[in-house]
Amino acid sequence: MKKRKRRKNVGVLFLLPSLVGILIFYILPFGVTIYYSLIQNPIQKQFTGAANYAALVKNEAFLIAFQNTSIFLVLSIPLTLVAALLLALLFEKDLYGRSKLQAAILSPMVVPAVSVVLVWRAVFERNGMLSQLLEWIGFAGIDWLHSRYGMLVLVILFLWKNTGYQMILFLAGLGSIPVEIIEIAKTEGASGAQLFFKVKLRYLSPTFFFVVLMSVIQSFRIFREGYVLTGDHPSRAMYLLQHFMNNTFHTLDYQKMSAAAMVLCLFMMAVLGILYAVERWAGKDLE
Amino acid sequence: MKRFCSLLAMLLTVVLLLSGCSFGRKQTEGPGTQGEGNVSGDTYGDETVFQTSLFYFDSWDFMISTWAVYDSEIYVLRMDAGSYCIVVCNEKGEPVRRIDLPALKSEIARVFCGMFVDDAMQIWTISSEPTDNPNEATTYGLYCFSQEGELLLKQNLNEIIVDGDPWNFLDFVVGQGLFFLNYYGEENGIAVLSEKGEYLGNIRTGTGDPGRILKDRAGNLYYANTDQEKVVLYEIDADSFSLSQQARMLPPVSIKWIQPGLDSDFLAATGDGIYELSLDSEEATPAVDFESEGINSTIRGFYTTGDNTVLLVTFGFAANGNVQLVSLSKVPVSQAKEKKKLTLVTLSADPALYQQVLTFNQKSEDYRIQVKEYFVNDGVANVETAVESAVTQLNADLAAGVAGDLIDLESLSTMASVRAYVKKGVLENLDGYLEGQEQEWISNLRSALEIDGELYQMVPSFYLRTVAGRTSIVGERQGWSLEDYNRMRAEYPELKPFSYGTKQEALYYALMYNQKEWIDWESAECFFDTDSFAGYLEFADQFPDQSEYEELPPYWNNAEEIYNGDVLLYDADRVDIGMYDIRRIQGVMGEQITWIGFPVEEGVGVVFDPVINLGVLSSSDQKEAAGEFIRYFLSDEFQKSQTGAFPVREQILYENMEQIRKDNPGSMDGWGSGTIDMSFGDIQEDQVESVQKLLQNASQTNQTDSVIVDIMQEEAAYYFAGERSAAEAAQRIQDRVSLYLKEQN
Repeated sequence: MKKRKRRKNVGVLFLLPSLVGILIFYILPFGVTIYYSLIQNPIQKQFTGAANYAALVKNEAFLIAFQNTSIFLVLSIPLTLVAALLLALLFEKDLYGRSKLQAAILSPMVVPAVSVVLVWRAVFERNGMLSQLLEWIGFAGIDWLHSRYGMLVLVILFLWKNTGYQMILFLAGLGSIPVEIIEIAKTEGASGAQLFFKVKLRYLSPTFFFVVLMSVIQSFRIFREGYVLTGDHPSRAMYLLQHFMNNTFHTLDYQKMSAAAMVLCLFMMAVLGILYAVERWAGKDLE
Repeated sequence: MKRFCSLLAMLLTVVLLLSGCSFGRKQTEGPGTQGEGNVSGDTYGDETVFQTSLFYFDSWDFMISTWAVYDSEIYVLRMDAGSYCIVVCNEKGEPVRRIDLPALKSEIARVFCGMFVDDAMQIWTISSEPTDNPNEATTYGLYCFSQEGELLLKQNLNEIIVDGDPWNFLDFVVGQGLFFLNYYGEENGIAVLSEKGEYLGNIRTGTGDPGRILKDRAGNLYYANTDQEKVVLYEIDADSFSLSQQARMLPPVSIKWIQPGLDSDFLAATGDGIYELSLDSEEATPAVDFESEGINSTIRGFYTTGDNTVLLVTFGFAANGNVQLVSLSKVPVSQAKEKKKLTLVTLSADPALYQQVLTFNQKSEDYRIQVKEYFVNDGVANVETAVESAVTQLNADLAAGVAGDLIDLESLSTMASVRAYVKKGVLENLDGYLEGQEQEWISNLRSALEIDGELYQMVPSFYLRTVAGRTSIVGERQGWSLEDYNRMRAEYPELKPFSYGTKQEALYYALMYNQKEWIDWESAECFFDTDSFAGYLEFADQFPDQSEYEELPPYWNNAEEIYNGDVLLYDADRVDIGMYDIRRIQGVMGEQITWIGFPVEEGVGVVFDPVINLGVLSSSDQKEAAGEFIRYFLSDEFQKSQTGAFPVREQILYENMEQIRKDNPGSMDGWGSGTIDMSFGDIQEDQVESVQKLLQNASQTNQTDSVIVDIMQEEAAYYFAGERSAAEAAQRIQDRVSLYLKEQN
């Protein structure tokens, strides 16, 4: 009993560096962000209640950024899910050159973002490859990065970069479905569609949850590519919440930035809460 | 759990103990990094400190050749009326008597290597007598004069140092009853002379970079060699005419002048202050910080006197043109007056501001200002990145409220937005600190500086920036539109509009002069998506992509093409109260000129160009003291001293203008470049009137927002490259700038 207690204490000691790290680098900054969002500025430190939030929701730039970010999430996450799942189903079969294709699809993950962006700029600029192609087939060229199609570029970039990773997750999920269940379904005459929708999809629900979670996280990391692609003040269509926060940080507007970060945090919590609820509902009758 | 807690407590104790180890660690700091509350000119760990007193010699910098101190009298050797003379001054720099030296004709003689007064009060110096005949060598002589100026001795040094050609002298030091002349040439050496100037022998000191002779407090003489940033000392043995084999080291400080110490072995002056050097510990202790004490850091030497005082003479001091004499006396700490320290933060200090900081530090009995520069160009590879990092650091410190007390906004004028600082509560409203003097400001400058109806920037003086044209071409009115400009261009298609400037620069100026029409900060709206702005893009497109000059030309070196009539307009970037610029431009343009201004949508294309722009930081806990510095710039003394830039107080401005017109100081002025050589003539009434009218027409400053400039340049580049139409580029700029403004709102 004494030995167990001592081992427990030693375990806590080993955890201590991580706990201190989390406290210093996550918990404290989070607390400071909340504090900053409630004061007039860090110099006078005058408590203003929800005034920063009220100002934020009236700020047009924030509203544009919030709207664009939401559109990006709504477009990119389902598209990634569908594309990754389809690819996973494809590669589940014994396809010719499967491993090479898988490697090709996964390769964007290992390519440095900055070099990728240079290529993408060459593709999507006013006189880029895509515009020239359009002009060649008789359409007008499009300045993708500075037009209302800007969001499309970001979505394509997101898909290109992340579909491979999500596909691997789905492949793992598909591989973990009990073979007996599939055998039974086939024996009982289930069609391919029935097998997919009634069996595989049901058993993939935990994987779905995880993939959506990862996609949401990755979608917020697309800012890096977007930033390198168009700078800190892009066209209206490509202006995301991270642009807003990054720019307000640069102009010392920590209050606006902190309030925006808190709103984003609440938004994320709401999204995750919904995801958890759906996952719990979908997985309640699974073994 | 109990065990865990005790373990944690042990761990914390160890951490605290380890951190405590650094408390006693000796800090190596420059004299400028003394902590708050230190007294003026402190020394660490001692009970005495240097007390600074500042005086001036009534003499212009270039007149002084050399100086020496004997028995608390200062001997200043200067040229006057064809020959050298010595003005003997007291410790306050006041002339006591004059010694003429007719033997040293200033037309031929050049005193260059110091002066010494011996115990018999004989004055010794070295002078050269260069010759126009290339076959004849310059004559170098050691001279000795009586207190009446009678030549007592002239020793030809060329005969003494026969194999030292070409050679020169570095030091003229007296010690152990002998003279030591440190010279360099093909072979370096020290010539030793008796107290009567008789040559006794030579000490060879090697070849290559010569060293210097130093004398310590005990009177020992050393030859100092700089070897890989260390100063190595060899004692001079005058008996055997040799250097000791045993070397001693000096602390690694960048020594410019060195003298025997008062309490230490040596006192050394560097670029930022005076240090006490110890040979035993090889340590340098900060003793006097030039900046804090208001001492011009470019000094021409110092002496220690018998009564525990250091006398120091600077090079010309811009405040009144006179040479500064500094007396540093050692006093007990209890007698030294404590000055409160204020920190002025700047990206990079402008010399004009720095001079004012020195002047304030001299005058103020209660405060001293320390300048904290965030960017120092000490040979960084990528200046742009280094400046950006410096601005980021400065902004972080500002936001955290730890930057200082005052801020030099002029140094940040192209890198940061004053408006953003105001919105974030970084700057203090100055109205409360100016004691109503802001009401005396030129009203249009005040309006131009106001943000949301309040004043956060202190601009004590300014120039005007505008565009000048020949009256015969542009007419007599001030102000014109882009359409007017285009009409004039069409009339003179063969002439260049401006002498130089690129597309990017032209667009930048268009923004600078038109920003009031294009940007409304209050409503966070902008108006770039107009035909008018597209017109400015087309205007900028007429300029070359790259500058015609690989390096920015020196001021006005392109004047000849204007003088020849090949250029229509002139970018007058420094219209001054002294009417210097208007007369020079008239001279170059060869006729009457009009301040037509940059083509603008509304009003006249003229902007205020602040010389100094200061703000008080709201995080400062010494705002009253900061306010004193701010008020200093509005004092009659400062405002009336402005003869180049326009002072901000309206009444003094017009008084100064009138005084300048009456005095006509420019009537003796002239200007030349290349084949142009002109003298200005008197200031004319119409010239004064035109400058006054220009002043009244100015309504904005030259401050631009760097983000907006970047967006404009970025989008315009596509237009300049032919990838977009002007209207498309204008629309893009509108789109992005409007988002930026909304972000700021």
